[in-house]
Amino acid sequence: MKTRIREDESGVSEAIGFILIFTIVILGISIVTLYGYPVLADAKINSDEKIMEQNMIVLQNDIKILTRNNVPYRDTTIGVSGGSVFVTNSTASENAGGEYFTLTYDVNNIITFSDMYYPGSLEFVSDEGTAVVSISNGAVVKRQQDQEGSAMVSDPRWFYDESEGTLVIFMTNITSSQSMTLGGIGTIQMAMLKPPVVHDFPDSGTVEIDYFPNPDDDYSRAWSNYLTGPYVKQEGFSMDTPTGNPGDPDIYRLDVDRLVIKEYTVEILGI
Amino acid sequence: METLNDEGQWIVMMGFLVAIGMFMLAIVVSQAPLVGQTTAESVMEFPKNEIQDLRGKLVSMGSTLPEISLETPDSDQETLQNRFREDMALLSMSRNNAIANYSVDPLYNGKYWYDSGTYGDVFYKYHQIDIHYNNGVTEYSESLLLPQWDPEG
Repeated sequence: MKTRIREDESGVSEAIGFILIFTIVILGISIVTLYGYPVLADAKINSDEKIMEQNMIVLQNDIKILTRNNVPYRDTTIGVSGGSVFVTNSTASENAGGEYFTLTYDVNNIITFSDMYYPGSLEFVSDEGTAVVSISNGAVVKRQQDQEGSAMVSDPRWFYDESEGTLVIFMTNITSSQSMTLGGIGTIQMAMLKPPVVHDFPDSGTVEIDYFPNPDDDYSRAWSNYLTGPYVKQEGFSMDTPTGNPGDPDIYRLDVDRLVIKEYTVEILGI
Repeated sequence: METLNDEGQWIVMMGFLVAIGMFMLAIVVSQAPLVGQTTAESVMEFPKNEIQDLRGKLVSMGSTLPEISLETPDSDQETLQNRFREDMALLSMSRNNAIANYSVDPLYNGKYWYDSGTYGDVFYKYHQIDIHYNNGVTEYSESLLLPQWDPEG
């Protein structure tokens, strides 16, 4: 038995005690509903987006295996939650004003090579959140809906060899027989049946890469960070000052001794 | 005097421990998405066989690699050497997406190949072959010393 200072309970009201406890309970429930639940939902959206980012890297690795390791077919089962994955055919992208690259090789002020590339894309768009993650031209890029700016999640494997002065560019096109969408769990089947087209220019010159973004799906910041940063070459490409006019490309240049361009076409058979 | 009942303090401590544990787990889980790419790529893509093929070819060519000289450019040997080099570069690029090149003996007196070799000892003359291989992920350079086969001893 504990010692008590006072045994007198005349000032203690059961009603007030009930009200106090009841208020605390209701406040607790409402704080969890108002603040806790949205935080949980956000965490779920965030983790969905993170998982999709990882899935896109897995798919990018599949494309790498198809294109670099001479494997004809490849399939991967992925679970898509909180959004959908769309396949945009390279020719459909051309007709719908999608992003494209032009490559120009200039040897002693004579244009030896010039071509346009519509890479097409494999794109995840989040329903609940704002993230858009896309595989295009061998890279995984990310942006937020209705906001400027973008980031490169995983680089394409372009490289520059310092001792040979050689720049190697891989242009990867995505094609599909029809437009495809995936929500939920599905298997993405890919094939590369056409041999790559190789352009090899042994003479030194200037490479010019123009990136024409799709204004509704703009990854120009991601490509500018990748090309001007120390990823392909330590000093990076030089970038012309952007004109600021919509529809004008970002122009990157680099002087090289030899240029190799490999063009791959990856076909999405089904998802 | 009322004494404080402290028999339940372990509950509070367990609460702290569980909270810290969950925090640690959350850190581990948040790191998980970063793993996939690099491990898979680096293990699968290390071009060990490709480098060995290139190296093996040069070693088996050995002293039959024709001599080249800057003093007499466009000689038959030089043409042959350049053809061999171009073939190797082309094959490496088309099959392995890699840049491959080699050179025989460092440049000396306007010649890339010289009869005394880069180094020599009592038994052999050695020619130095520099191999360079780069596929964008792995860059490999090697200096190889090949003894020159001399039929007349």
